Amino acid sequence: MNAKTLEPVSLAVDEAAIQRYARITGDYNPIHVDPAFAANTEMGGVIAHGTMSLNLIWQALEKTLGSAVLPSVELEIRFRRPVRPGDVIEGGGVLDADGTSYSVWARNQRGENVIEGTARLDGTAKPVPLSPG
Amino acid sequence: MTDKVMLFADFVPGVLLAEVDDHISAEQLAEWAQLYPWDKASEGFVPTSLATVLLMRSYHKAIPHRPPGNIHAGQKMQFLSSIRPGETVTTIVVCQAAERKGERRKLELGVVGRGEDGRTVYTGLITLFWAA
Repeated sequence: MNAKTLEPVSLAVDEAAIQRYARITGDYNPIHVDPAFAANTEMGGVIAHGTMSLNLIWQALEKTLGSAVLPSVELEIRFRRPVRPGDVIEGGGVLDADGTSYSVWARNQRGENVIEGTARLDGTAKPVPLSPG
Repeated sequence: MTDKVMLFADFVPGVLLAEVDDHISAEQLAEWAQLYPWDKASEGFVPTSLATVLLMRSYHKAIPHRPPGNIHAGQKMQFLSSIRPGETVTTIVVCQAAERKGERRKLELGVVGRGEDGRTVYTGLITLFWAA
């Protein structure tokens, strides 16, 4: 029997965390790490890397279901809103009615979903189509 | 890989963009532990969600010159096998789909990462709206 809800995992996002994530990923896009540059974009300021919040969903899945189950989980998500320094992001989810998937999210302190998606528990890896040349 | 900025018109579905070797270093593991101190790995492996980093770095390395303003819209992933610290993961990055949706240029990049012994460690599909 799968848990009805995922055990939540949360992260307080600040500029130091964003800089740390940039060092891990090598992604120094100025929208993430340069406040002066970011202020003059349509975002109006620095935003966190999207996958920094996405990782919280994976961690909530692993915390709840255990590492052994993760290889059968196929996660599909959409990024909905930017995450900014000062946000507190929580990854979580709820079991769908058919019991074979979780509706998952990463949500900010205002209750807004910054990421939404589905974690299917019977995922099967599909080959990536590749044509010669 | 190319030295010039990859434009939407350069993408051909089904064509391999790059094969990228990468690994998780001890320094990156230490940074990860600082950022996500609760994210513990099984003995001898890196935390599972760290595979997201390898997956995204493979995209960045495959297409190092990207037009400014691209939007990372979504992602599909499956993590199939644990990765050891320092293990070389070889990821192929393939243009899986390129289609215009109104004013938007939608790209789907397929990725498959394999460990040193050839086992598949992850698969993924990165959805992007390409800026130019």
